[in-house]
Amino acid sequence: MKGGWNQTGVTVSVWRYDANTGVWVDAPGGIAEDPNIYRFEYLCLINNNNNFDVPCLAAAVRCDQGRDGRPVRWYTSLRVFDPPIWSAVRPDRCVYLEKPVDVLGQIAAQIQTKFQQLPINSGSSVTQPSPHTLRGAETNFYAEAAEQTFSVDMLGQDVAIVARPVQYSWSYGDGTSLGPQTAAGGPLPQDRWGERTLTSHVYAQTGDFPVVLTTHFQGTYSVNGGPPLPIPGQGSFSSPPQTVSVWRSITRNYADTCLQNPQGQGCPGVAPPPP
Amino acid sequence: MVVEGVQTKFIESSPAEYQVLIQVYQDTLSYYRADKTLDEKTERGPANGDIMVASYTGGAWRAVTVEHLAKSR
Repeated sequence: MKGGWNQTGVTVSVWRYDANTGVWVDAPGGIAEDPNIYRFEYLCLINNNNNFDVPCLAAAVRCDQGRDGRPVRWYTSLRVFDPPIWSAVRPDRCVYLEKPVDVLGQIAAQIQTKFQQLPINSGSSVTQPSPHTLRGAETNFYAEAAEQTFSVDMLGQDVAIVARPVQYSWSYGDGTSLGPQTAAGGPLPQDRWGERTLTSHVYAQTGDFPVVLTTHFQGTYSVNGGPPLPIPGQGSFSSPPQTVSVWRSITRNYADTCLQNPQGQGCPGVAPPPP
Repeated sequence: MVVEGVQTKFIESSPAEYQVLIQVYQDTLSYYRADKTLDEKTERGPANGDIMVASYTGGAWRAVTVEHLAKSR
């Protein structure tokens, strides 16, 4: 190709074969027909019987941009030569059965949605005391949620996802809630029930309240056993509501036992006083 | 330079001028410094298609033009 500047811009001419005259013409303009022809040969084929030499493949150019990638060596010859005079074109390249796609990039784009759709167990909320607690008393709640591992197939790749609980929120069912915050809480021995904890709650009213624990998970994923990569965002999973019955307590003191005074308040068969 | 093939049909493209197609590649080159140490070794280049316009005048062949057929890749 020749090029030169003139007043109106670049003038380009190319050598092009003119079949009518049998000569190569230095014609103005346009893209020339490629004067070369090309072909490729598979590298590492054993005796052309479709078996590949594995050690040879390991040393050849890596063809992992798509499914069934194979290394090939390209050859070119001027079209005018009959028979062609094949000359190797380096470096070696790859051929694929399908158009290669950026499968890791596609997985990265989909992983957050996939993570939020996983059947992750939110864990459960434990109440102390349970199933009944008292109005005006500290009721201790704590979460029991565990790290979970999932193996899923994404775009034909094995993807291992690890979900780790990192934050917790409680909806106490009486219109109040706690969190999200990092404390999962913990069990209290029975003789300390009623103590205030990081995750305890005081009910102001009696009644049955549906308590929902929402556990927020952070995830990592690894593709085909590769290094773990963080999943952006969090996945939030809620437990089914658990009912907490809040009762009230009234303390009454009596001088007699029920044997001494069978009609006394609180004795068997005696109606309770109006509240 | 390694010449892999040469072809001409001996058609006169203009009086006493003929076209020759040549396929050549640049073999590896080693550049040495004055103290005989290796400075650089280049890789073998891909094959190029060249055209030479040659004229026969006065009992001798002369190259009128030698160019690449296409811009080298």
